Amino acid sequence: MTNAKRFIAGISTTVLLAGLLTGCGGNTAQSGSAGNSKQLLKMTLLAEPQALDTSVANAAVSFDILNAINEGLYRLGANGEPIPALAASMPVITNEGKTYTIKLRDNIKWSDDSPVTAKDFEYAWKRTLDPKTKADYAFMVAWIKGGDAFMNGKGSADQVQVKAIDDKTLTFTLENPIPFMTAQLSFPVFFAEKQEFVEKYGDKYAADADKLLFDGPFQLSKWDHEQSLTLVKNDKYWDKDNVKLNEVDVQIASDNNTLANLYQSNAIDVARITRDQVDQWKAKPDYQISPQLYITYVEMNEAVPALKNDKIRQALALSIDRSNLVDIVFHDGSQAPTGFVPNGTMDGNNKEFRKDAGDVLPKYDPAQAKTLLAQGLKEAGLTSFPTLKFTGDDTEDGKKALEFIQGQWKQNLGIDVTVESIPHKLRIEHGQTHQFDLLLFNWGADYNDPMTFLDCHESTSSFNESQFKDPEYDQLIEKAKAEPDGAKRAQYLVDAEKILVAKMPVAPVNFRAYSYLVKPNAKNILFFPYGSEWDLKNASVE
Amino acid sequence: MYRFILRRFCYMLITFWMIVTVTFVLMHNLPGDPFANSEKLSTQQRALLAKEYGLDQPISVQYKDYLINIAKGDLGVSFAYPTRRVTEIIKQSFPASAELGIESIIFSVLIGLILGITAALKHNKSWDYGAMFIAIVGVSIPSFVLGPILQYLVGVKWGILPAALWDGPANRVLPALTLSFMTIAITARMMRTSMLDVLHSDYIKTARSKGLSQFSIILKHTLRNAILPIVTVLGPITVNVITGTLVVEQIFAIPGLGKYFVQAVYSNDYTLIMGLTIFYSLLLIVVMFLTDIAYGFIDPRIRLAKGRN
Repeated sequence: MTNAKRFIAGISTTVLLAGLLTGCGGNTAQSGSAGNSKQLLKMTLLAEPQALDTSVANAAVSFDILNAINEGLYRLGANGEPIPALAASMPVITNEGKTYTIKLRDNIKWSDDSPVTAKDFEYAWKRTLDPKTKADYAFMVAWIKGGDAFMNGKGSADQVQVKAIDDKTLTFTLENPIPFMTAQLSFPVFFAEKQEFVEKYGDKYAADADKLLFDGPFQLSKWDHEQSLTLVKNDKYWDKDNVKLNEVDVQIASDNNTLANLYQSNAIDVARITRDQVDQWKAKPDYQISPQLYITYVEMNEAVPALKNDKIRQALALSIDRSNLVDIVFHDGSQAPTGFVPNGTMDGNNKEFRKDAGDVLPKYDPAQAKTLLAQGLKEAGLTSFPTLKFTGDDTEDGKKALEFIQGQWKQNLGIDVTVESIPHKLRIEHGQTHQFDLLLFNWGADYNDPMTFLDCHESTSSFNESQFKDPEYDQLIEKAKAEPDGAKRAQYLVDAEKILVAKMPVAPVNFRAYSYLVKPNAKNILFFPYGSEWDLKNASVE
Repeated sequence: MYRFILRRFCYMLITFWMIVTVTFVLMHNLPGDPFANSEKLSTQQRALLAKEYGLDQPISVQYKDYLINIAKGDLGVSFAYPTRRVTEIIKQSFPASAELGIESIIFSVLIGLILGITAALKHNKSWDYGAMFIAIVGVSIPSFVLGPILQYLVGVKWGILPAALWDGPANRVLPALTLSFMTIAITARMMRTSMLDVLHSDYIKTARSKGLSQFSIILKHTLRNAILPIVTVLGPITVNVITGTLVVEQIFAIPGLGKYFVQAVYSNDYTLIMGLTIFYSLLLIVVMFLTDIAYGFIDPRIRLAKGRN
């Protein structure tokens, strides 16, 4: 009988325990309302930050945290404008826009109380360029004279033209004038690193909360990998009076449905949502759209005979109803493209590029497309359009977009394409080795300038997947790269985009946006169109 | 007996080596590179990174180096998480998966046994049909459907339990329940069949004719005999559940190992794929090895038969 008793006792204990757990649960869920006088904000990241090493970090989830715990010479404001951060003022730019001299603020300190000096910047940038650091974003630092050679293992660190003149003055010289350089100094790859600290931890630098130094608005007090990060206000930060939050609890959750549920049960204050949840929230004050500098287009491989003809490519582009596509496939605030450079991209001359260039992309016009196709086929000496393969990512968005466009071509042009959705990595490889006919491609900005969207169509670019070759286009891009005058440069880029419209090497289909839910009592969270997703420096909870 | 154990151990090593080799070969045949941000890498940068990671070496050299490193217990550094060693990732993330697995096993055994016993005792009555209906539902509803339903109903609509995340004990209930549904169904059906077998056996009739109470017959004579098959399958089921937490981890934002596996495969993170494959296969191989030995002890016929081969 003893065994039976034990068995029953065991069962009842566990059932009781389960009951107890359920009881606890009730309390937790109810107390999980949005922050309050404690100034606690509950955020989420879609994935574990790959690295919190400013040289190596390569994804938005890392940039979000780095932007909170560290700071560059400049920080971006609400409209993407650079505001002096660790720098005392705007840079002094000489030598036809190529040489920058920047004074650092007084009283800027690392969390170990040592001062942040110009040498920390020089060291960090050279470390990023060192091939041994394996930094994906080193190419930005390579804009500095001598940087490209060092990055490619051909030069040395000494030849890189960045120098700490003294503890408070940093100077560097660029290879070409870059009008958006000051804003770009807010990007984590241009942050400072303290040599002694980095070398002390070696391979383990920045691997955990206790192997990091902070000079930004917050300190990282806890990092439970793949689960959560806790940020607390940094009392050593120079502008601590303007930091209102005491604590930020960042949970890692990747499933969009889960995020919406967590938001609805008040476990988090901000959630990024997708298509399926948008209609439910669209009318509520919680809903916000953040347009991204991000474009989706159809690459048309010019090595395929039928796609070599300009008119055929135009026909393919004109026969896609972009407004419908954006609404049906993405449905998250994304917009129908009006050009090759997304809305909100600055022109390097303090204006928005789309305003300079206008809506250049021809409107959806099935009749015109049909005519163009017929003319194009004739010019190319073809009797009919061959059945081509249309390749894209095997993600939900990817598959939906492929099918939608396939349907449009069938309906409007009467042509058949075979749709093929493949894993992301394979899609990238197919693109870069030009092993495709038609390819659905995504490209996000690395910096806020049309160049990031335009120089990938240069004939020599690694990213020219469609194999578009136009000497006039190449010339305009190269002229723009060397031009110190902002207005002239912007005009070159406007002209370059016009060539893309005429030749249509790729057919833009979407300007991406993100949809967010933000608790109405969470104020002043900045959402960015590229780089970091958000900035919490001035955020607060009411 | 020692010869038998030694032989099993050698088989284990060979199995392990084969798994490592096959995974290595398959993985290096995956299209694309392992770099995290490959969409943004120029041809030149790609070549530089490949050189830094030693990926420009011939496959045979990479394979040899990898085997040497495994022998040293070094699984390398993840490509996606360059500051973290694969062994650290496993150490940090496996506990959550294991905990979830064990909790779900507790749920399955408890609920499964109760359902199975009820069904057998009320054989062919509405209780039986009810319990078996629940069991069938459990087998047929996949966790990626059940998880979100539970999350929404219990977590959001009723607000009784946290919808997701991994903070306290209350956060464990929904994922463990979701994960246990399948095994609840298996346990319930096995228990029912085995109970029915025992209930119809002669010694139960004897016990009845001795005049024992129904309660005492069930506890003392039926359960103890009927539960044996469940105990036998519990080992493999546990390993299965612990290694199969992936979908549930994703839905409930649990910091476990399952998520890494899919991410690693998707992003071609060579070192992480290899490390996790090695870890999971070691787990399975060792359990199988121990089971073999346990059987050998319990049933000498197995030991002798295999010893002769």
